[in-house]
Amino acid sequence: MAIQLKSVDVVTIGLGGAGGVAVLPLAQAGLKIAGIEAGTWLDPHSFRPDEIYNNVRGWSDSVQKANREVPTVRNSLNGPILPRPAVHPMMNAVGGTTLHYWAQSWRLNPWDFHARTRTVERYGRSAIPVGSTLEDWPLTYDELEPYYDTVEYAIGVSGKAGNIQGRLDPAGNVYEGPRRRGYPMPPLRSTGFTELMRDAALKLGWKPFRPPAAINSEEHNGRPGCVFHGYCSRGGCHIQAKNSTAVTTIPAATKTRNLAIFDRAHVTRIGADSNGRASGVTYLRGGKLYFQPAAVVLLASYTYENSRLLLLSKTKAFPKGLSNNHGQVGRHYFGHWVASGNGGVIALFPFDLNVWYGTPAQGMVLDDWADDNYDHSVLGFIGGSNLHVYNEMHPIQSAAMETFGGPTFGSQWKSFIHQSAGRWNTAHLQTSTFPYEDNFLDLDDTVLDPLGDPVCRITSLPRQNELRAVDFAQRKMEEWYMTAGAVRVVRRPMNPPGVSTHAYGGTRMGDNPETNVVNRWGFSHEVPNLGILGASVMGTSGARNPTLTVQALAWRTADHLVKNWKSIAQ
Amino acid sequence: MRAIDAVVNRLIPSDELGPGARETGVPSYFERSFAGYLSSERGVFCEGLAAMEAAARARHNTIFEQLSPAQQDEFLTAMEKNQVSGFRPDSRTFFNRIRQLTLEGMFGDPWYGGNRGFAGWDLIRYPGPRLAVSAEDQRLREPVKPLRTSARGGR
Repeated sequence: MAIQLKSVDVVTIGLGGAGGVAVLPLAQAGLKIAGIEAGTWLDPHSFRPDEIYNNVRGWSDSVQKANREVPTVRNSLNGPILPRPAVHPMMNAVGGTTLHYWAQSWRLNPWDFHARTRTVERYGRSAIPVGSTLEDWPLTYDELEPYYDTVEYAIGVSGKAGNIQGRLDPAGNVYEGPRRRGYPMPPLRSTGFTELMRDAALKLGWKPFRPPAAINSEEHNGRPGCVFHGYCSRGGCHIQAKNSTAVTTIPAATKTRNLAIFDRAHVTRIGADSNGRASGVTYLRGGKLYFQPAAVVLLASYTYENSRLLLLSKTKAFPKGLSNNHGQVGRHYFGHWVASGNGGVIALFPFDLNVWYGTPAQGMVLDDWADDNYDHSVLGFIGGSNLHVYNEMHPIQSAAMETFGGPTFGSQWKSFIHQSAGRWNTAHLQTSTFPYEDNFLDLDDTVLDPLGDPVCRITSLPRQNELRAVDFAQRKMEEWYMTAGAVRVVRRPMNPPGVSTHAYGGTRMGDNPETNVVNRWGFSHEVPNLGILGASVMGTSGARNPTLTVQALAWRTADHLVKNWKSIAQ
Repeated sequence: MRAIDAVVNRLIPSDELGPGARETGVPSYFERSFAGYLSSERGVFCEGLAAMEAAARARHNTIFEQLSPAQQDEFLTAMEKNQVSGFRPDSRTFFNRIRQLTLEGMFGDPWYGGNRGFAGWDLIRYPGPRLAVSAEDQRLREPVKPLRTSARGGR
């Protein structure tokens, strides 16, 4: 039997990028919160410029919950399970993966919220990808804008605005939606390589700019500006210039004394009473099982675990899993099609690029080929890609470079990498990805975690629309590299995404309870006091990193809860 | 471990560009990894090595270590091209794994056993980790002065 704890106002499952943001407005409103986190606090003094520790072994001495329940992946409905990735790309910690993410902090563009309507208007109904379950979001960019703004200032985002209240500035992204004001900090400094790429893009008539990042470009809120040491990708920031929720919103929330954090706590089930309301969460901590009752439950683990926990939480009122009486949990799942590295465009230059250091956020990007910023009439796909080139290359990664048909070992290869390891580059092409009928998450009864619960199973099929969009983006990227002076460029075919840091859906947000798990405020259609946070509520990906949108939505859900406390908590 | 020695010695041989994987401690990277972080993979990896030796015997009537350098290179190329049978799931997978681990040892922090004297980083002209990087260190074409330090006190 679980030890019964005293009831709290709100229990949150997960204190990462989403839960770590939501706790701040809740705590500031005076609600008493129990923050349940599988990981623990990590010490910035232990963050090292060490590729084996960070990238190869995925912080192996941190809490390994995610690694013990890595989802299985298949690329066809009855196909085999693919080989397991060496490490789960997400991590367990207070702050979650915002400790080691690239900190790219994008707003989605207005088109992403209405991709279905805009597509039908411009290209007709037949342009909607076959088999897709695409719906418009139940909210507009303008409705989310105040929350984007709030989060940008609460955590600290550097960047250059391209559209302030309709005034366009070509130094920023002219394709973005209007924002009320600029970023709290200027963009991260450019480098020789990003300037080379900027000049090439301008020569092509494109509109390059520096991307937004939750990384300090100057001293901000008592923490220093970035020192560009080059171990930011999957690395913790030793000077706390990366604005993880672990150094921003979570400490601010604990300062109110309304947030109690329970770390190293593994949530096993969400409870529900016979009236169909969430009753609290059961978790394992230090070998003991606890039940934390709460008036409201906020599920904020990660896309895979959000769906899995709901499916595992079977009760009388919800025999197919919590909030799953309409069978929508796990549906409308999609991993972001991101062409990079071995599935992307790889270029070789005839001179040293010196991209060893810096951070991926220290890049050059363009939206000319993203969203619906160009005519798709004859292209055979909708959506597009943000093209992103960047700094930061590690030595093992660099030595493992593409050999362009040459030998992969021996003296000749040695001589090749001696000259070329510092001269190659691969771009990050993030492509609009959509939900489909046969792409979903469910439980894999053949693979169990150490507690005996099935892991999540990803079914992710190849999709004509995304394959064509990626191919189009790769050709544009090739053109960009060649214009910048590359001597060799290869385009590598991309497979459907597997276990991803950009995983969407499973608990989609929408007005229709027949096709969506949560309503426009992020609360379950079936369980009125269950809120769900994370990219699992997003119905489209956009052509950019999800975190800031996840955080804006999380803040908005928390804000809605505070304003409607009585009706939601009863 | 002699088989690993022999393989890494052909993957990254010593030559006029500097010492190879064997001389810079890459075999000890394998040894330490399989004794620790990769202990759960040890069995599968040893099966791969055994399959390699069995295939070498079948082809050349002797073990891999006893082949001439040219024969060894030819054998490794055949493994890479997936032309050697007896591996689970196949020879290319094993080749890729042993190559990846060789790269990790050669170009990872010397604290893990390989990259002795920072020879791997010098080979690819990686200027070494540092705690802060100036704008001058991020210019095109300009060589950055190497800083041969380990994040963990390795050498």
